[in-house]
Amino acid sequence: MTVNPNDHLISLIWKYGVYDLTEIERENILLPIIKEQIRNALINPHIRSYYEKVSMNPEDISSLADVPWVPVTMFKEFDLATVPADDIVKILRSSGTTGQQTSKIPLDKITIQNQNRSLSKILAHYLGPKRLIFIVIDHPEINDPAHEFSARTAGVRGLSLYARKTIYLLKKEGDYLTVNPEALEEIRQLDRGIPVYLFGFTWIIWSVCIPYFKKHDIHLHLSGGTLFHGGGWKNLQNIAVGKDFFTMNIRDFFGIPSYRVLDFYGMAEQTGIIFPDCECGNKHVPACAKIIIRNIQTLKPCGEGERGLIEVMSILPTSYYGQALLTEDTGRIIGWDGCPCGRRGVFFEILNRVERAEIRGCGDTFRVDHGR
Amino acid sequence: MEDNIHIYAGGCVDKERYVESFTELIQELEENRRALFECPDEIIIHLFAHFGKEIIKDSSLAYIPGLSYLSLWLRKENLHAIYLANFGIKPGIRDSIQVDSRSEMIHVPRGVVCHWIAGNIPLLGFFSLVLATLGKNASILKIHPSVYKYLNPLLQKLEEVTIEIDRVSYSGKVITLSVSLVSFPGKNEIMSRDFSLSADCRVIYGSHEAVQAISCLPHQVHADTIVYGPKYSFAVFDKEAVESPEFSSMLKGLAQDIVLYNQAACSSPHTIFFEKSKMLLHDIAEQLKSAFQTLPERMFYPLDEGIAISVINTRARYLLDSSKDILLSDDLKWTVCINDTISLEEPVQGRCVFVKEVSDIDQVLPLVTRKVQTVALGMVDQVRKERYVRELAYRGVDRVMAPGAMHEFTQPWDGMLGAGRMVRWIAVVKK
Repeated sequence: MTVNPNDHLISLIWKYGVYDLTEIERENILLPIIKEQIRNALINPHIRSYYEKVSMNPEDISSLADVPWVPVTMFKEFDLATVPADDIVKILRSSGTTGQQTSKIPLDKITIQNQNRSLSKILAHYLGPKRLIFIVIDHPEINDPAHEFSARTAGVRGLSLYARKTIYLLKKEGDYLTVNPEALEEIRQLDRGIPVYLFGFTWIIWSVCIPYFKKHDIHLHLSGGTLFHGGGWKNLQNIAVGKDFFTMNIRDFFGIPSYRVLDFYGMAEQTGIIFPDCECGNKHVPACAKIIIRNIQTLKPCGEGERGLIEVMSILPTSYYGQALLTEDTGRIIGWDGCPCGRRGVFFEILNRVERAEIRGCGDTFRVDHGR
Repeated sequence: MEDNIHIYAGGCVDKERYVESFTELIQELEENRRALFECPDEIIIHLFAHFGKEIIKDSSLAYIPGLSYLSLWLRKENLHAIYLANFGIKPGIRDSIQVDSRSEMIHVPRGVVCHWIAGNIPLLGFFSLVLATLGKNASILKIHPSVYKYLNPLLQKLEEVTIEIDRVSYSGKVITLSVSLVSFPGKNEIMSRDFSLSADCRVIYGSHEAVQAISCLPHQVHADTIVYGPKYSFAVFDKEAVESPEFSSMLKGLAQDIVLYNQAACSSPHTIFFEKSKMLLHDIAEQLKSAFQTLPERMFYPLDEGIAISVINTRARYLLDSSKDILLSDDLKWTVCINDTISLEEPVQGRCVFVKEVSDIDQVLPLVTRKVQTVALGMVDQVRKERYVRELAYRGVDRVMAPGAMHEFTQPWDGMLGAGRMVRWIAVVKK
């Protein structure tokens, strides 16, 4: 295996608490690491092509906001590996939630270690030092290596790092998901108030679990539980279900206190970094990462409160160009410091995913086969 | 409310209404269009021309994209030319055209024209309305709600316009009382059928899916249907033009064509072909970049977010692919993608254009289909140009324009004389 020259640099980040950095400290600590990682990333011909075309020399980067970003969807089209092929031990294939093409994210041992370490630290921050029982609100095949890796798989795999034991609450019946009565019974048998953590996609929890619980009048008593749920709010918004109503239902049917129902944001391309809500409902950035919200028209960093595209920067990946990835999700910065929860640095919220242009009109031509 | 027809305030309607059918609105328009029918054609042209002058003076309307062009287009001379091209006579001379010694023909309105207006060009509805009004038709414009903020202030302004000719005063109301703006969900089959059946003439603008769906709606047997479907446009420059002193001004014109309407119009160029010359393609792209940079800030309207994402992804593909070249602004103002594949690129829109070099411009001809609307031609030699235009036309091109003039709303458009299609021709035997 090639010795990664910036491995020692990354290790410096673990000295800091997960949410202890101010943005100025973050800039000072991450910038030299990322610059070094970019020097190494230029081994990749695509990244080299990119930097040459924008006339960017890693030495000239004076701010994290200047680091050239790559749209996350490019992992579907380009090999963005930044280490020799021999060093790749795993290729993460993610179907995402909307695209048909699969993202390919090449991982070496160091990246996997970094990701695991980061996730453990983030989870420990929310769950405490001990491993806990993990309840997955999904079916077991979602974590089957033979099946395609999806955003749901990424969530389950990532969060299972902290699991002492895993229970899958759902099962598949044909093409449908339903609650598995045996798993439900196992959860019921758990001691009241025992610390557990749960994970599921918001829409699945709402459309599969809650109706089943309602129909069968099931009320769990997971007062020591913490629910991480993700995948966005679009489907729920379409049926006018908001965060508060969702949380209220979780409290009623699962017995989980509202402040431990945590919406989280993450992506397969930045495994190792998740952004759960804090007690105040805000999202915070771990020390190994940075969030930049970019104006959709100017691509410049947005000011406080301004909606824009979310860019996720990370020092965790050494085997692919994940230092600066632009998503198609929008968010806004709520503050730069001073969230009442006590976590430092920028805090933000996710708004929505940018949708395909609605109005196309007479200029909406083509698709390559354009007939006669 | 969503399941109702929204009849906006404006035109013949004082207060917005939510209704279930068009019956009442059609009755109102049928009554009102009599006044329009009685109004001399020349007066209608005068009213529009006066209105065109007024809108450009009114600073409260300055936010409307394409306003200055609308004002230019409404010049009396231009409206006369459109009238002549469509109806074969000059307005105000005489109503009839001699067919033979015994008979003549006159044009009369079809009645109520129902327009399905696509939302990609803010003022498209107004242009369509003018063509229908020249034929003295009443109009119902089904609009995307987002363009109401542009069209209604214009209707209000037109309503206020008055002119005096031969001591007789005329008001723009004679036109606006025959107009209504509506919206309803296009997927609602009942409303769509009702709208279609209300039409004496249907004018449909839109994407392939939209025009297919609307064309299939039931309609009156007498109703004509005018379809302005999806079209593709591009530009071609021959070697002589590239090496000519006018080349940079041609590129500046083309840059305007690219920027206007954020490339969402059917007349927006997406691909530019340059015949091999002394200039390298990259250097030509640099000149195009300079042309973009000279355009005033106010020409760059915000991009639709979905389009912005497409531009961002296209840029990334060209940046990451070492076999491709690209020039781009720091923001999303303009993007020039460079490659040598001889093809018409899928439109990205959002001021993102593809430039290519061909050894001979004839290599472009096989790409032309009936889906191509406008070709901007940069050619100096008139003989070569005439031959090329003929070949383009044979293969399906509807318009051949100069760079910088691609969006001029000329007649004919998409191969049709739109206003002429919105009238009936009546045969009258003289004796």
